[in-house]
Formats: sequence, C-alpha cells, structure tokens
Amino acid sequence: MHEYEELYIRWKRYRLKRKLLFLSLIVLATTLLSYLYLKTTKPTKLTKPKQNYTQDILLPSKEFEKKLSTTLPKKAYKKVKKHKQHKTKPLPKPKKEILLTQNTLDIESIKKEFEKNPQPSKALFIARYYYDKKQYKKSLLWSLKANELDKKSEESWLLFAKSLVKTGKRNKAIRLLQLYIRKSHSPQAKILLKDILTGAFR
Amino acid sequence: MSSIYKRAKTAFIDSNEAQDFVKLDTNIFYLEKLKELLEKPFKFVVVYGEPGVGKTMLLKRVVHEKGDTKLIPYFKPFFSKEEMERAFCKDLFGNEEIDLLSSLNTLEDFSKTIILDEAQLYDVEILEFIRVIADTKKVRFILVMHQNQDEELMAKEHFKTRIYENIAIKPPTKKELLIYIHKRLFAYELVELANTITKTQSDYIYRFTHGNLRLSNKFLFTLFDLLEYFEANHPSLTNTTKIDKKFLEMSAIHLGYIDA
Amino acid sequence: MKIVWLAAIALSLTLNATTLKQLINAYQEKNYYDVCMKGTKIFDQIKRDENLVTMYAFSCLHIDKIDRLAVPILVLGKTPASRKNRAYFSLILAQKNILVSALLDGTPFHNLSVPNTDYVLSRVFTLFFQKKYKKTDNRYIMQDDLARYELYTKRVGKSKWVFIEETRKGKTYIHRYR
Repeated sequence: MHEYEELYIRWKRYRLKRKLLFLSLIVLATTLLSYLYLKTTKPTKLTKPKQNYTQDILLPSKEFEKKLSTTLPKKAYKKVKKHKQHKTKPLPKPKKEILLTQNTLDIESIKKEFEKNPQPSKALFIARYYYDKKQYKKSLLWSLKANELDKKSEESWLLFAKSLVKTGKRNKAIRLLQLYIRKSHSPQAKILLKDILTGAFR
Repeated sequence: MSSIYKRAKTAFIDSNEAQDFVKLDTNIFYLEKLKELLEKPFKFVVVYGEPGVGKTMLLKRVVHEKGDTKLIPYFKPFFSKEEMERAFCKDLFGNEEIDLLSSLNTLEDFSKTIILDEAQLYDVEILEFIRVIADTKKVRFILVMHQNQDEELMAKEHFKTRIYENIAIKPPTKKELLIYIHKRLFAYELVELANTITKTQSDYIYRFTHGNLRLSNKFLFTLFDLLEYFEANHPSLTNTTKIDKKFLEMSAIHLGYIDA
Repeated sequence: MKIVWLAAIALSLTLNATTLKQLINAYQEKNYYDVCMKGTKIFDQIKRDENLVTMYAFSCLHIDKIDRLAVPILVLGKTPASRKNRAYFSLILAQKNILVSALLDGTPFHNLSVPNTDYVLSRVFTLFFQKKYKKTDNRYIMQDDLARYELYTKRVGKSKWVFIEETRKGKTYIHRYR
C-alpha cells in the first residue's frame, strides 16, 4: 500500500478521535451549563442551620409541675409596730352647723359619685361613715354593696359582720365569719369572731 | 490541472539560492541593513538566528545584489584552519601557497569582506585565526551562525569588542508566511493555486513551523505532494477551488507534528 | 335577699378549691385552653402560688396567648426556677413583639443577639433575623432540624396578624400572633 493510503487511514482515525473529543466536550459543556442553569433557577435548598438546641437555647424549668397544689399560700402580713398614742391637743370643735353641713355634703357627693361610678372603695367609705355614725342598718347595706363589688375586700366582710352584730344578728355574724375564716384564714376575722363569741364585741 | 501540484512542489523545494529569495518586509529590512553595513569599517558582523530562518538565503541575496568581488562568501564550513587559510589565499590572492598574513598588508583597509556561514561549527583555533586576520583591518568578516553559538562567541573577550553589530534574524510572522507562500507560487505562475491558500491555512501551517522557512517549505512540499497523489488516485477527495483541511492535517501527521 | 347574697358568697368560697383541682387536672390532661381561660379569671386567687402561676403561663403559651404572659412575668421571681421561667416568658414575649413589629410595620431591628428558646416563635424569630429564609409570594419559608416554617401576615377582620405555619412530621400547626 502506498504510504499516502496508510496516511489517509491514519488521518481518518485522527478525525474520529477528534470528533469524539469534540462531542465529549460538548456533552461536558452542556452538562456544566445545565447544572449552572438549574443552580441559578432552582429554588435554593434551605440550609438547615446547625444548632445544638441543648446548648444554645434557654429552656424553662418544669419543676413546678411536681409542686402543684390546691392549697394556696397564706398572705404574708407585715408586722406593724403599734404606735404609742400621744395625747394630742384636741382640735377646736368646728361649729356643728358647719360640720354637719360639710359632712352631709361630703357623703351625698360621694353617694352621687358612687351612683355614677360604683366603686367598692366609695361604698366602703360610706359604710364606714355610717358605722361611725352608729347608723348600723345603713352601714350594713353599704358594706354589703362594697362586698358585692369586691368579694376579696376583708374590711367589707368585717364591717358587715360588725353591722350584723350591732343590728342584733349576732348568730348570722358568727356563721358568716366562720365561713369567711375557713376560706381566707384571716387573722382579723378570727379575732373579731373570738370577740363576738366572748362578748367582747357586741 | 494535475501538473499544478507538481509545479507547486517545486516552488517549495528547500533552496538557498538567491533567486529564490522572497521579498518580505523583514527580509528586505535585513537585506538593506546588511548592504548598509558593508559601507562601514567593521571587523566582525554577526548574523544569527535559528536554523531554517533564512540566514543563508539572505547572505546569498546580499552577494547577488552587490554583485562585486569584494564579497567572498563561504556557505560551506571548513574542517580545519589550514583548509580555511588555503581557501582565503586562493580567493584573495589567487595563490594557495603564499603566506596569508604577510600578503594581507598588500590590501587596502577593509577592502574585502569574507562571509562565513555555519560559523558556530568553528573551534577556538579557527576563531583565533579569524581574529588575527580581522585585526589587520584588511579583511572584514560576516559570521553567520545559529542563535546559541553567538552567546558563546560573545563571551570571548577578544571577539566581543570587535563585533560591530549583531543582527538577529527572526522568522517571518504569520502574515509574512502567507505572503511568502503566495509569492513563491506567483514566482512559478501558480496564481490560481496561490488564491486557494487562505490565511486560515497559512496560520495552520504556522502553528507547526512557527514561520521557519525551511520547515514551512517542507510542509508545503508535503502538502502538494499529497494533493498530487490524491488528485491522481482519489479525485473525489480533492477540490479544484480550495484545499481541504484534511490534506493539511495529513501533512502534519506525515511530518510528525500530529500524533495519529 | 341578704341571705341569698351570703349564700352566694359562701358558695363561691367553697368552689375555689374545686376549681383549682379542676385546673390542675386540666393541665395534666393537656387541656391548656381551659387552664389559660379559667386561669385568667381566677388569677388573683392563684397569684401567690408561683407553681400555679407558672402552670397558667405555660398553658397560655401552649395556645399562643403570648400577651397573657405579661402578668405572670411580673408575679414570678421568688425562686431560681421561677426566675428562670420569668426570663423564659419575657424572652418569648419580647421576641413576639419584635417580630410583629418587624413584619407588620417593617421596623428595622439590628444587632439582635438574644438566646433562643424551644418555643416555635423563638425558632422562627432566630431564623428570620439571621436571614436564613427564602422569600416567595410574601411568605418567608425557613426550616431547621425540628420543622419547616412559613411566616406571613394576614388580615383577619380589622386586624393584621402574624402567622406561623409549622410543619413537622407531616402535620401542620398554625400559630398566630399580634
């Protein structure tokens, strides 16, 4: 065979190799482009942030679950020092008329205010006022009003019980106080009850 | 048609002959530069470049264009100092048996120029002999050598100061290679064939030969040889209007530039 | 009339103990809604008991009533455990308010560096402010080791709410805050 025939065969082999190389480059380029294209258009996979939950987070305390109880703790009262009552010079008595006028005006205005805006403090003020005035039926009424508005108001309970005693309903007062004491364990209520029972308060 | 490729082959048979000198811009530049230098009083001018770049052809062209007896070219190397001396005596004075050095005094200063090609082949003894002659200022030397040898020569102190100019011959550029191919074909009246050689094809050849004229000649010779064969035996594979790339590739494979 | 009133008062007192027991049972049975709702009504009764207050707070937290943590935060603090829980609730409440503000009003918040908690809002808060989300159609999609979340705002009636859809183990839980 002439050397150029062999050369032609060699060239054909060379061409085939080149074509294959070219094709593989095309495939590679296409794959790369597709990958890049998909990477840019595909929604980026959310990366889960590494987080050690036991170390990085604030965890609560669940100790309370073992200590749940229906018994509520007693209300802590601050010890109040008994102040020595100093003999003070009695203030000059204001003119009765003026005093009465003033007092009548205050209570009435408070009552009016209460009607506009019922508040237990106002009702209690009025109840106290009447109790001091020995108008026990009125103090009974107003202490009850105060209690309706605020059942937790201890003073309304005590004033109500006292008003009951003063209006001759000692037994009712005792029963009331007993119920109240069972729930609230109120030391003041216990003292009042004892006083009523012993007759120290009548 | 079939003789075209045969004629084209002839155009690229490697030749150093002056008439085969193709005028390219750089070639012309070196040519003119050498011709100018010949007017100067130098002892040595070194022309160097890689093999096949066209140094010999250039010097031959200089001799051809100058056309005078002052230029004495030796394009084949001498094997000994004695052989060189005899040749110098014969060509300078017409007598091999005379004493060269004493006879040189009869010459006018810088009256003769000896061109020594393949000067890289000469040993120290011959180079020293040349130096002594040059120092008489009666004879000038143009040393033509390969690139690396020049560096060795330059290192020698006694030559360094004597070298008037170093001319580095660079191979043609891509553009020049195309011009070279076209001009060579034009010279053989193969104008149509020259027009089928495109810049792409010339650049393809340049990839392997880097413009080296000897290598380019060999490549083109192989190319046209192939075309001649295939046109005769497989005409369907050849084309009259253009040269298919496969022939270029086959030439490259044949010459060992491509491993296939 | 007065007797009726007295009886009513007495009755309410006796019911208290029953209510607390019911409340605790409800908590243990994970009826957090009942505990939170009833707890709000009787909070004054339970406020002296930190354990009950904590129980109430956790129940409200379970049903995403974050604002109801405000009062327990004020009340708790007598023991190290209760102080820890107070901090826990405070953090969640703060995170809720910051997140709502950021989403509804676009309020910028910078340099937020707070601890995380195990509560869903905390996890979403952390992911949101670390910008570890993908936003599509005004929804912030994010995920961590526990679940996948979608955070968005939606008008419900007159108000705009912040919603967190938490999907874990195939189930989706919707939390809403404002």
